Amino acid sequence: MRLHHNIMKIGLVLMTLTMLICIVFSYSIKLNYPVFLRYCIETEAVSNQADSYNRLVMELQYITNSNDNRLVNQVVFKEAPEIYFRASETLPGNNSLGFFIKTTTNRQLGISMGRYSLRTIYVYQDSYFREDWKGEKELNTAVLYFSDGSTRNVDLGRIILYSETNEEGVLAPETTTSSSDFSSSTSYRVEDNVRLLNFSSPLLGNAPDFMYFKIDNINFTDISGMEYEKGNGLRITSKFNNSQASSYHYDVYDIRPKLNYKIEDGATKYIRVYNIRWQRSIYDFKNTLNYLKERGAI
Amino acid sequence: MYSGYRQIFWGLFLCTFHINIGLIQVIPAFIGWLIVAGGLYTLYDAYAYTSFRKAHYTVIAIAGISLFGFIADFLGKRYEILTYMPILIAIVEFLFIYYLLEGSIQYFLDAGEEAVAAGIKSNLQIYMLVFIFSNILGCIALTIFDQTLLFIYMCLAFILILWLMRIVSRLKKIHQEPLITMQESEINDK
Repeated sequence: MRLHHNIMKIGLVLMTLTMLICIVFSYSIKLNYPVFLRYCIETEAVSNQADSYNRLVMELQYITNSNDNRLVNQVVFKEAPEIYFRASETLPGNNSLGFFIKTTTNRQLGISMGRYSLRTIYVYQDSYFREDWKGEKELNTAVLYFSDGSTRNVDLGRIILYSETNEEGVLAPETTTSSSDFSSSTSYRVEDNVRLLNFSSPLLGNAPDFMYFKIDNINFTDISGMEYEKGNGLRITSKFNNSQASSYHYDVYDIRPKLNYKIEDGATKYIRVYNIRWQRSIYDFKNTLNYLKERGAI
Repeated sequence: MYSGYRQIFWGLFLCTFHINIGLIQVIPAFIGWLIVAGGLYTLYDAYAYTSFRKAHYTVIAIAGISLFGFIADFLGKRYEILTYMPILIAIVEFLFIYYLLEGSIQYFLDAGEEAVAAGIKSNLQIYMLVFIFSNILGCIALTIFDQTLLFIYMCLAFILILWLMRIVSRLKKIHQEPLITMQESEINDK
């Protein structure tokens, strides 16, 4: 029995030590506050009364401890306190509690990633502007209201809320393709002779190095002066080279630049380009640890 | 002997398979552990081996931890430390299994059943090694919350408890009649 006794003793020490090390580790990686991803996005606002009511205008994601069961239920942007946004962590129709689901405290919130969980806040714009509003508003800091009554100021990066009227142009969209690797291409048919001016977006300066954005294989910064004749095709392509981005580059990009051009009569027109979107799928615990370290949260 | 092992067997069964009606857990795990403790007390009462007494106390400790977890869960508290409750219970359970089988080995040796004792000995050795491995793996899995590791840990934990139930069930069936008297066991234990 001596051998058994020794195995018991060694096993006991090993298991206790492992448990203590794991407890210390899990406390050391515990987040003191939720960490929001940084955004560099443009999104269209609900601009007037006639526009659809209660529309999803953005999705914000944050990383928190897996046992954090608070929910965000309101978002107020410091730069636009007059606009009322409604926030919810569940999509409509997705929050029913069945009979066999245990108590709400045990409900799994968000996507589980090791000790953390990735939550999504769906932000709806409930109110409309009293008068039709056209233009751009930059939102940076949000005040988040949690279900336990606490609030938190969060720097979300740059979110551009815009509203515009769709004016008739001479570039008619023909085909659009976009792929899950965040590459996309849009073809336009030129209906009148045009001279391209530039791409304008407040966010183009914040675009990551691994973004490639071209018109007919010409880089977007060098398009000024390019001319197209009536009947020509114009192809805009965007691509994000995922391999150049670090595996924990969790910033979200959704840039919607305006392509400004001049038509023959000298008038300046623009068309907005969509689908320049990049967001790394977040599921890996190790990458998340690196990301949180980089953000200084742990 | 028979009734003691029978109680331990059914106690372990109730700890493993919870009966839930809707949201309510009819028999929480700590009740199962109290039944196991009762079985161990019966064994100690009949044969007075110190191993059975030690096993009895460890199982009472498990029941206490389990009751604490049950109350915390009922009140909806999600303490960080509760994540490690299964590991803590498993460490104490490890002691219980050791003392239970040590007591049983002693009993069969005293009864002159060397073959049975040797069988339990070899079982105990492998069992302890697998148990240690499973528990360390479980601890790491709970820390990094890796779904694959957690699944392997849960499978191993399930196999281990079934294995233990099989050992107890066999011990129960070996001798339904006592092989030695209490006086003999007391003398041997001293």
